[in-house]
Amino acid sequence: MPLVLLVFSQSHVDFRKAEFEAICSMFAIRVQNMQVLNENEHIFVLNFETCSDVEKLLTRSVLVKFAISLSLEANTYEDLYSQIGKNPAVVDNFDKPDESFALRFFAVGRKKKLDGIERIKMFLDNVPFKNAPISLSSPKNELYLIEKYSSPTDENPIKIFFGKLLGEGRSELKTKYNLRDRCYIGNTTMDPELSFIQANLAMILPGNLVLDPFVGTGGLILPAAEFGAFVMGTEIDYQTARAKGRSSRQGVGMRNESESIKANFEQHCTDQNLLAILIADSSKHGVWSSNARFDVIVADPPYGVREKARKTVKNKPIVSNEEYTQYQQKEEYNLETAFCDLLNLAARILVSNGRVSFWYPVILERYCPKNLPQHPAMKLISNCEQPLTRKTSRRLLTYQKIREPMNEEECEIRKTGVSHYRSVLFSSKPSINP
Amino acid sequence: MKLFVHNFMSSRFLKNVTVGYPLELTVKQFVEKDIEFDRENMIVMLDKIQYEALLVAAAAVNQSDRIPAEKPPKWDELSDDQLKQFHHLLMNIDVVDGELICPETKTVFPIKDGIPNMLKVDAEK
Repeated sequence: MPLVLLVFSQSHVDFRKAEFEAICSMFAIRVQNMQVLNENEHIFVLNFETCSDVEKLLTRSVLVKFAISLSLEANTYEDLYSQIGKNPAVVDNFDKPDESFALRFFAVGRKKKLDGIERIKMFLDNVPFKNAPISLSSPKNELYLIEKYSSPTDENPIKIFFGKLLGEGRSELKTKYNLRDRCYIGNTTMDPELSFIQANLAMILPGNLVLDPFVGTGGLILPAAEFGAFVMGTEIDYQTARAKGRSSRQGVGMRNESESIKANFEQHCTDQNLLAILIADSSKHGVWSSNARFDVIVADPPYGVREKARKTVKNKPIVSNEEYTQYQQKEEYNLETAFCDLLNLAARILVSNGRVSFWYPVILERYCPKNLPQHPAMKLISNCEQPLTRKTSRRLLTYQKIREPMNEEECEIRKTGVSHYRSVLFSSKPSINP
Repeated sequence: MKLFVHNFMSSRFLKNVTVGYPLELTVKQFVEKDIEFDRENMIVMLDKIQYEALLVAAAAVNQSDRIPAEKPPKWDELSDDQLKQFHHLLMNIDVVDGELICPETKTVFPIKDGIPNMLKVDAEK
């Protein structure tokens, strides 16, 4: 059973365990000591069953930076060298004339920069490689010396690890999908790294049908398409869906002709996975036929702060000129109703075991888990927090459909939680506890 | 809008509409692209579709001859070539310009630049 050292990103620590668990269930990966994962440390030794399980994990994880097949673990360098002295095969395995190598250094938990080259020299003085040629650019064996510190000011590491790199995670995706280079963005386009984490929590697999009922400029379904799913989105705002009107980029003015949701997919050659963008009201579930079934729903419903939360209403006068004849009047969409509608929609149109993952705004002093939307047919799988301001945060809630909903079953939010999100956010007075 | 999507859409959200399915479809312009065929994915997708609605969609692009008039009893018994005909209709055909029409109220939902607008102003009248 291979012991594997996983080095995690130090950002979004609250999402770490949930992402790891979701990817493990995606590929039926079993890790015996999964409980060692926590938010305070960033490297963990885990017990995988096979190396191919680790490879599968790395194809998806945004928060795992890289994985090392652990050869040695020591408390001091003396300890490390004496272990190698007792068991030289550990290093000799990598010291073959026909296999080039590189040795890299990495330290976790220390603020001050360490001289990695010095450490590598010191290691190689004690553990000489006699046969293997060095190749820094494309080594056959990429070896790592990793130091773990318990406190940023400590002089000496508490652990030293040595092993061979198995591979890197998918942190490059956040750069590949960075918003600066994205063709079309909106006011509330999701941070790319979080959008990929969300795709993992929702367990999006190749060939899945994925829906975003508040699609905006498509930021949440781009990762789904990258992972091979077929995606659809509905958007209530005519201008957003058609990429008309003012750009969300500062100083740009009007959006130009080349901007569109489709262009975002073309940019990454995933437009073949885009099934459709519809202009529709996601509060009207009847837009979906009774045979419609999605594997996954991802959503970032508008909180009414930077994007208005709206649904359509009847019998209101319509402003009519060329472009605007397409508009139907919209009214403010109560936030709690919006989230209940979303969970009810998920309970209806998801396949069995399908997941819905959405962002839920929280006023910190009013938060308690009872505030979260609940539905008898949906099981809450994970609840990860991203702090936003002193008073607020948002939580990524992921639910799984455990059975078909009965006729009368509806989502409920037990205690008023989000409905005053906007008013609390914009008030200078301290809010009163309910 | 890929032709597949038509199969999942209804106009039940309109007032006094009880079934609203399948939507009538007129296609003024469509493009055909080669999307990679995957047998397993296609079968999963075909399990979700409603066959009568697929026939409506096939007729709208004048390609009814691609598929049998009766629903095949089992999707996984179909050959790759047969499945590819379904794949072509559902995945390769992208409707650019046309209309979706409610079968009961005849409300028209225009498809422009590939984007259907289900919010048409007179939709609720």
